Amino acid sequence: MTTDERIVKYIENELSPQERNAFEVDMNNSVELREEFEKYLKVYVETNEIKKLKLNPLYLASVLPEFRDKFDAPKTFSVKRNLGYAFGAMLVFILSIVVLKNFFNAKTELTDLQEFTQSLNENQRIELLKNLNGDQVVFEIISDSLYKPELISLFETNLKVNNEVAETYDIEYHEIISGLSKDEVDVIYKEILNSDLLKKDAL
Amino acid sequence: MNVKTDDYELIQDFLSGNEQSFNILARKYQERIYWHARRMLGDHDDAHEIVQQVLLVMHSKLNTFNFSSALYTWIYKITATRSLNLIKKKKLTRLFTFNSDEIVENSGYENIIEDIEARERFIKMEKHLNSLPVKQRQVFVMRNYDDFSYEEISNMTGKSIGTLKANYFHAFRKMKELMEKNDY
Repeated sequence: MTTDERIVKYIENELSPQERNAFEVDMNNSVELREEFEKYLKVYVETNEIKKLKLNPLYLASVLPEFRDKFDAPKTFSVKRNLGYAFGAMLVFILSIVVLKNFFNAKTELTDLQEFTQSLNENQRIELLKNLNGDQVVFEIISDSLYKPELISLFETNLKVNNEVAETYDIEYHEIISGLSKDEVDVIYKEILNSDLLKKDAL
Repeated sequence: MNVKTDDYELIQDFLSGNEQSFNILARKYQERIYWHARRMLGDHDDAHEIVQQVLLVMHSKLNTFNFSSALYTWIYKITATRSLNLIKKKKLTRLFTFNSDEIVENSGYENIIEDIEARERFIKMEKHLNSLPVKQRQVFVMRNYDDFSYEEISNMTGKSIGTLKANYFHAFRKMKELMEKNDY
């Protein structure tokens, strides 16, 4: 416990009887401790003096009448204030409509695009991706409210990695292999074993 | 004439429609409300505003008071909350109006304390209190001026007794340093 803590606890009567006795002995033996204690005691004494202060009765007498005047006064209709509230409410309403409209438009466009991409076969999707990657705006269906990466990810949905895809993305064959997990490699290996390709080579 | 003075009776009477009973309650507690607000806010006008707000809350919400605590504890909690809210609001206002951080000394109602010497001592201590961080100020005021125990302060503020004691110690030490600096 620091000296300051001891002093505050002593003033607050939070020291045990033994600690209290020890503190009093220390104070008797140390001028510095006594001086420091006096400084803290001044705070306590000054606070207690101020606690006794009373408010001016004239002020106190005015509090309740002021409250009653405000409370009992007829509520006046303030045109300016109510116009302000009405304007604010209208602004919030308009902003909500604009935000919701954009949100639903985006959702509708997204749904349309999803349906469109699902109707394409793999080759058609690859063709579209090639055009998108080449930054050529070919199709009218490209939406202003969706970013290009979102469009690309839609077309990529369920796209199998094959040579044409690899060419579109300029991916080397070994990169395709290195990106596969062990399970994926096992599946492909089993497919190769079962396919005609090996049997032809064997022949 | 049977003068009702007990808080419970006064409240029941007010809730039955007798506004005079409310007036008695208001006069009974207004000074304590003012002092707590004044010590927290350091300004007469703000303290007066809090008094008016608390009276309004008392008038509209006394029907919800369920006597699980003393009436003054209920009133005190409202006063403390409103005072803290006003402190936060003033901080934000200062931030957005680019005002200087210096506290403008505004005693407002000059004769709020009639005795000149006592008023000067009060204003000096008020300035020191204003220098304390809000959390330290709150526990210092509640402990030294409002005479609440740490358990009561903990119940009202939701803070642990350990935290309160730490804040109180720091507040006490800071007040000592400020008073020493100002040659008390």
